[in-house]
Amino acid sequence: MKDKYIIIVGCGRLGAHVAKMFTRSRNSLVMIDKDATAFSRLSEEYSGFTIEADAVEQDTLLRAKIDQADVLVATTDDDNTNIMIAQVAREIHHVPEVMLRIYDPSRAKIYEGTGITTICTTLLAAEAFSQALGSQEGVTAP
Amino acid sequence: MKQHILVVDDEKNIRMTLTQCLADEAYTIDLAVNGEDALIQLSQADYDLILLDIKMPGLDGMEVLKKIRDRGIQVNVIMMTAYGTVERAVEAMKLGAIDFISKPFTPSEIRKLVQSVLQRHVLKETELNHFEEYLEFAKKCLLEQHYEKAEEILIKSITLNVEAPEPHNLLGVLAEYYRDIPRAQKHYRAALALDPTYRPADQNLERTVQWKYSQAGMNLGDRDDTDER
Repeated sequence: MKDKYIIIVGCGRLGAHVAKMFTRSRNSLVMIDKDATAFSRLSEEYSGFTIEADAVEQDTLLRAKIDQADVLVATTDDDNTNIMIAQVAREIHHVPEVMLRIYDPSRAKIYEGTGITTICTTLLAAEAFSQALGSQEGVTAP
Repeated sequence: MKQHILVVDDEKNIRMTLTQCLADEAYTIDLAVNGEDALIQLSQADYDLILLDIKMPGLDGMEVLKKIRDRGIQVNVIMMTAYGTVERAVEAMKLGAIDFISKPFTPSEIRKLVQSVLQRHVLKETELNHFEEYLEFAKKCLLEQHYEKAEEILIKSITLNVEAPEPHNLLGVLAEYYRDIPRAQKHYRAALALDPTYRPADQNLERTVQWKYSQAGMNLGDRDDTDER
């Protein structure tokens, strides 16, 4: 993955980390957060733009040139916000790849098959825990 | 020979983005962290193009541009603006800069613009073929302050692509230059009739019909700039 124009919404721990990983693979990034102080989470090597604005507003996404975006990643700390932004990006602006982070496992499945990639961090963590337990049991079993 | 580009921006992120975007092309890129730094570098080397941020602490982009021209340096300049701040387009045009790009920009956007600006100076009137070449040549005439020539070329370009709004918008800008506001508005309306979504003409028309006429905010064709705020 190289040379893509990627918009990330929400510069929290996850958003900042995603930005860091995407920067390494030489993409062009735009980070949106309504709180300018959040941008301090971005790593030293972050090379991209920052926009201090509320991405729920259509104007903000237009300002980030969403119509030209290859990827949009919604990583705010609110499920509803992420879902809404992801849907706007997909349905209205036809962004080819849309991803969102979601906490609530019961809602993770709803978006299957809509062209939106849903990453449920709660489920991922639960699976990791259960796998860790499984491998421990494997070691200790007689 | 590799073409020499100077990137002037106080933000490290933007300098890095530009370096990355242009890395694969055959350019040599130098970086300046502010206006003062840019002027020092300009006295030490010759450049083919300067990417200049308008908003910088200390010497801002417009002041740097003025100082460059005062020194008699006729280098190509692309002005980088933050969202919705092209209000000094006329001033920049008089100082020989008509290319604007608003942040954030995509890699392909900046590459295309850099390429077309660098290729513009080799265009010759007798060798123009396509609509795009005519449009670029008209911009070259505008930059060299050959306004009558620019007008002639723009009118020719319309016959090559009757559906494009750009020449009409630039003709409107030219009419404003001659202070013929009604004619300018006709051109903007013509541009909009061809493409109702063409923002530069929309903005220019809106600006010229205001009660208190002002050239501040003239848009030379940057589609992405939305209203001033």
